[in-house]
Amino acid sequence: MLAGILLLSGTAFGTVIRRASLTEYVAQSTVIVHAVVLKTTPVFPERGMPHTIVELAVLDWVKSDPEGRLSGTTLQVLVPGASDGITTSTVAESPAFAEADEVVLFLYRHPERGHLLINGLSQGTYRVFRQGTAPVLITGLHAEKDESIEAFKSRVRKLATETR
Amino acid sequence: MNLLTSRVAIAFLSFAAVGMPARAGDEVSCHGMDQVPERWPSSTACSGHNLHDFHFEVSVLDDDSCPGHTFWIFPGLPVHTDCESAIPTTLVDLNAAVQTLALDPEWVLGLQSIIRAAEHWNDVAGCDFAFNLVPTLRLSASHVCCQFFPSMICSCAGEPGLSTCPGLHLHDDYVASTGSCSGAVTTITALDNTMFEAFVLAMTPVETITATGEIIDADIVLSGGPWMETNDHYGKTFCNGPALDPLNPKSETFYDIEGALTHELGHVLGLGHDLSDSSHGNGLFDIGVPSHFPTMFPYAQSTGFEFPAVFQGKACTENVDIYGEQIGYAARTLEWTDKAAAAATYPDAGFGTSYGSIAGTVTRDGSALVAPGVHIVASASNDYDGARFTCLSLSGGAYRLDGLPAGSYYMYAEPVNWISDPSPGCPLCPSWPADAYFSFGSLPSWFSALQQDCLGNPFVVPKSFTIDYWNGAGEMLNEAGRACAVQLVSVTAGSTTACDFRLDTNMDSTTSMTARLSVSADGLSGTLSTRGLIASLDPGDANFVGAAGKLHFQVEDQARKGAGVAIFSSWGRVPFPITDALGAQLITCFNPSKALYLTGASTPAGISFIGTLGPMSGLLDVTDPYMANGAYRNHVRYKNAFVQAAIFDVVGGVPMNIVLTNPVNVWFTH
Repeated sequence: MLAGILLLSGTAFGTVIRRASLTEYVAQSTVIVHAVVLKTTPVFPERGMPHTIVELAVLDWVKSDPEGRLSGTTLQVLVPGASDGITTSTVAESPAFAEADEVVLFLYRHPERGHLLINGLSQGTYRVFRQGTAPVLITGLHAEKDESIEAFKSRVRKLATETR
Repeated sequence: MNLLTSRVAIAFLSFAAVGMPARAGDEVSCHGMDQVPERWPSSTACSGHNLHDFHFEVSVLDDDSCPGHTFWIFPGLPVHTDCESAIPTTLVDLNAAVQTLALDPEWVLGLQSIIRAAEHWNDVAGCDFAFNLVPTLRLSASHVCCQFFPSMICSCAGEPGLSTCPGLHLHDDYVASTGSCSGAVTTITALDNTMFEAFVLAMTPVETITATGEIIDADIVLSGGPWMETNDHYGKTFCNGPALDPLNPKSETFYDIEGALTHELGHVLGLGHDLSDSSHGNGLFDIGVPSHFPTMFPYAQSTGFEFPAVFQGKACTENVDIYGEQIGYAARTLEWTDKAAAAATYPDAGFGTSYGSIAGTVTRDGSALVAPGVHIVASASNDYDGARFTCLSLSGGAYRLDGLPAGSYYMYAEPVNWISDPSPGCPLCPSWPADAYFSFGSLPSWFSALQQDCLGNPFVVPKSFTIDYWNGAGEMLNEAGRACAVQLVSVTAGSTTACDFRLDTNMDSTTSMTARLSVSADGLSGTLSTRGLIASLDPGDANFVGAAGKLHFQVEDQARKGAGVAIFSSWGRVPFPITDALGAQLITCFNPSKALYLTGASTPAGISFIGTLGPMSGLLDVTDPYMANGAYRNHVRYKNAFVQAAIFDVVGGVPMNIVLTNPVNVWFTH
């Protein structure tokens, strides 16, 4: 009975997002990267949803692309929502990035267009925090309290291996 | 108006009270202070429509050359005409129009969902906006379908570069700040799948003038389309509720489109997400029943068979009834927090005098600094699950809750340690420590103004004090609000009640407050944890802690704080016959699920202290006569007790600086 009551699974809305476990996030992610934001470019297309192109410098491939399509030192990610300073298009739960942000992102490669999206938007976004000589910490949905970036990546790598 | 901007308020950088504006809708009930509310501009009539009237112009795809490419048609699913009986008048009109145009009845179901979703918001008292459905409803079957999915090279009338497109168009007539009539079109489509991945069901990009928050456009995009038949995992299937064939083999996962649209229309209005407990999937410790489901919550809920989804799985095909509450369509029903947010965003003339407010400031560490990003919750004392309002303290540490009906509210503060999206201005904005210590700047009134039940016991209404997440294995996915304070405040219509909080992030210099509670059978020691615990009194259960009877409570304050302790419990919301005197009294006095017994050195009550808790760590044995009462047990099919303790200091003879322990859920059956 308890198990039934406690059952939780994961989807989110703009936003509705499905709540999912770390295991599911790892399994559903084409790649998982530890990266630094190089540049953000807002896009207000005539057709389609305003979005921001986030350019990343990849520090570490926490989960590599099993098909080898994604590699190298930089990536581009599309994030719903954009701002050019005058107008802002926001989508609830969509993360915002600034230059030099250090992040771990759970990314999904669109099967038809090939671009990268962040799985679960903010839920697939983890922030890395450096402060002096203190341990480098990470925060995010499935990060433990005061968890180090290395410990988190180790957990993710283990799950990636198990779910591969 | 989303969590993107909400993180501004949470940012550590805001500690210095930098006046970074936060947007209304971060928390749906949050308004006022220094926020820049995102809303449609308020002005007089435009184009013959009242302000904030959204009138429908439906471009319907009835062209046989392009069947099934509107989002309300679900490929492979049977046609249903036996929708819910409560058909609004608008649907009658709509159906007549449909008959005239000889349109496929399937999309009528979709329109019914849209109209009902809109009418949920129209029903909110205190608002001056309306989704004006009837007078301006125009059906147009002349729009040309785009070719086929997923190329999505389609266009929509009224949108730049878009001339025709299947989907629903809401014409947003308003007077822009420029003084000119605007004709933005809110489209509802399921066309653009380029921004969807596995976890997102729907998005509503809301375009605003950055400086003012004035909304100039908003469009709803649902994830879905013909590809959903292929079981491609980023395609999601929406359905129209109970008419759907649950045995349909196409997919086992469905999402209630009316609930989804109600949520997204909230975004169209400028509202954000709610962070109140049940909306985060908590509810286990809400006495087992998640009865508080704000429509504007950020997640679709689970498919657990006793904890059904709002959008997902069986909840869409079965109107699940649990303990008398039908929560399968919870997102369709606006909670108070949703209504208050809408009304406060678009207040009508009577709003200010019909409702009250609670406002205050959260300071930290000796009150020298402010504390933004603290989650403030107000729960009505007479409807603690249903009437719950939430807010974040913003820059300057200030918060404000508007649109509260007059009455008494339990106030508490908690850290929000799930911060997925810190603001761009704060590269990492970890929440306040989960074990931060919250207290009030003033005497907690609930200790001095206790109510009494007919047994003469003081009590307050219980509620969940945690926002812990649990998975199916009973493992906590996240935790926050280990410690929080509770205060009862009174709200009167037309006025603002002050309620300040204090936050101490540096208890005893080195150790944060970590109050722990365990529950076990008499003579045994249970597990001490700062987390929510399950203590089963059923042999064979994985969480078995001993046979039912006299219970042993252990309370420890690792931070060596506290001069007194209160243990309180509430009984599960279980319908059961009670014939013995005690049970009859319980039933007579109040809903047993809402009875919370409070005791302390000065208020001996249903639970009696055996030991005392000193200023140091200590043990406390408590006998709960209700739990131990065999006669009572024998009349209960199964029992679910929510137990929690409050540790407090005594200053000047009065209790204050209250910190709550973890909750313990005690189960036993027979």
